[in-house]
Amino acid sequence: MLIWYEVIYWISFSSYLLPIIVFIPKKGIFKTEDNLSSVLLFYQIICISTELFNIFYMQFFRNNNPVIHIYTIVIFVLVSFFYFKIFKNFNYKKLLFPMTIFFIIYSFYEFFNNQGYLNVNTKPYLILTIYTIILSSIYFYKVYSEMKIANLFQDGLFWVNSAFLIYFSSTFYVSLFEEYIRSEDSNLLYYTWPIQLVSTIIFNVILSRGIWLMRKQ
Amino acid sequence: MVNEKTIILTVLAGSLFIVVIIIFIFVVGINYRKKVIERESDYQLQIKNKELEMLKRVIDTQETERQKIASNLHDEINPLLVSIKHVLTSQSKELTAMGIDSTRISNQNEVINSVIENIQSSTRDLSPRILYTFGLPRAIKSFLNDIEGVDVSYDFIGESFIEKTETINLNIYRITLELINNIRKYEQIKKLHVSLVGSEKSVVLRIVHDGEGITNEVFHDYAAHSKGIGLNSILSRVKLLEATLDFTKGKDSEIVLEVPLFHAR
Repeated sequence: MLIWYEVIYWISFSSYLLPIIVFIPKKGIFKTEDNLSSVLLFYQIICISTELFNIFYMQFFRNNNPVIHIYTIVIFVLVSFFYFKIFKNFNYKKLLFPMTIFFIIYSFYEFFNNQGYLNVNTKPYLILTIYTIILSSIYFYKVYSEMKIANLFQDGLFWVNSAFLIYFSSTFYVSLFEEYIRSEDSNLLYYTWPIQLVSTIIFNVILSRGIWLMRKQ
Repeated sequence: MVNEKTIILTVLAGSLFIVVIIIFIFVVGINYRKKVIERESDYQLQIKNKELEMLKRVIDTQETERQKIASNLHDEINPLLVSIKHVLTSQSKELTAMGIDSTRISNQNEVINSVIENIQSSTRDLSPRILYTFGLPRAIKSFLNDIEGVDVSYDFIGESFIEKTETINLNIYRITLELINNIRKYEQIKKLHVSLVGSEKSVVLRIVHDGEGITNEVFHDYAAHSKGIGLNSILSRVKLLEATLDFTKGKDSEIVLEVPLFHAR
């Protein structure tokens, strides 16, 4: 089981490079409309950095939870910024800003007081997943009701949004059971974490497709 | 206590969950595409209807103007010419009675006769009263009977279906006249056969002649490069009637106009 886990883990880790490779050939990619591409590239860099920090922390401190706490806050901010940019005519998009502030305050409260930075930040992470699932669903609803795109499968944002929905839905599922399994036997997480890893691979493949199409557009 | 079986079931359920979400996204994409295609076809239909409406207005305006001109010619110019003709005839008689040569006046009288005949012919073309009064078959028969130097034959089947609406009949009549006049103008023909077949679904006009004939491509090429109004008028009317017009080149060249009767424009 461990060997398989290791294999999937390294495939998953390497898959973060795929969207970045898609970014590279394009000159002036960061000057694209609304800086969406730069947000996504920054997102990927954060993910890779977190994975590297995780390896480092696990090696020296046997606990990577402080990194995950910070990662959750940064990802929440990036997701909010991303959806703020793509919801051009959405009346409630201004709510994203106070929600992000509220989340940051709540996460720091969890970080220092409630759960503590050495424990898993299950609650903030669950909030992040639900928040992203809701935003991506709103995006689907808006696209479906506005009907401004000729073919969704040729639209980069559709793929990026699908990647977010798939990834955060599966991490939501895993996070739901994580705390309970961890309390019983943390070794059993080797069975559930492949879901997370496979969804990461799917996320990176779909995100690459989205970025590729955004470049063409 | 969590056992391995429960964990495996949880993993399987999680995998199924991901698969369901992926399927959901694909279904959304496919349904969206279907909706876009439906909306696109609705939009195309609206544009087509607007185009047809505009074409109908243009052709209606043309017909109204033609009727006005025909009415002016018939009611005002023609009586004047007839009265001039009467004056010249009586003057000619008086001069002859006085023993003076009236050949010049007689010649002028002939010219006026010719003008009156031309005006009557133009009036018929501009406003075919025979069409309005007796219908399409009779109007086409009348036109064909006036053709000289060509062996003309015709047959009409299902005349009751042909009398659908005045607009359809007028447009078929105009197309027929334009086609036959063009054939006579550009082809050396000796034989001409016209058939008109009416049914519940359509009216089919078939013109067969022994000229060289043209193909559909050549006709559309002529129409595209033509500066005159004849060929374009044919195309406009064909489009308005949502009809098809087919040209076949061969030993017996053929032109077939099929007008559907699914609506009465």
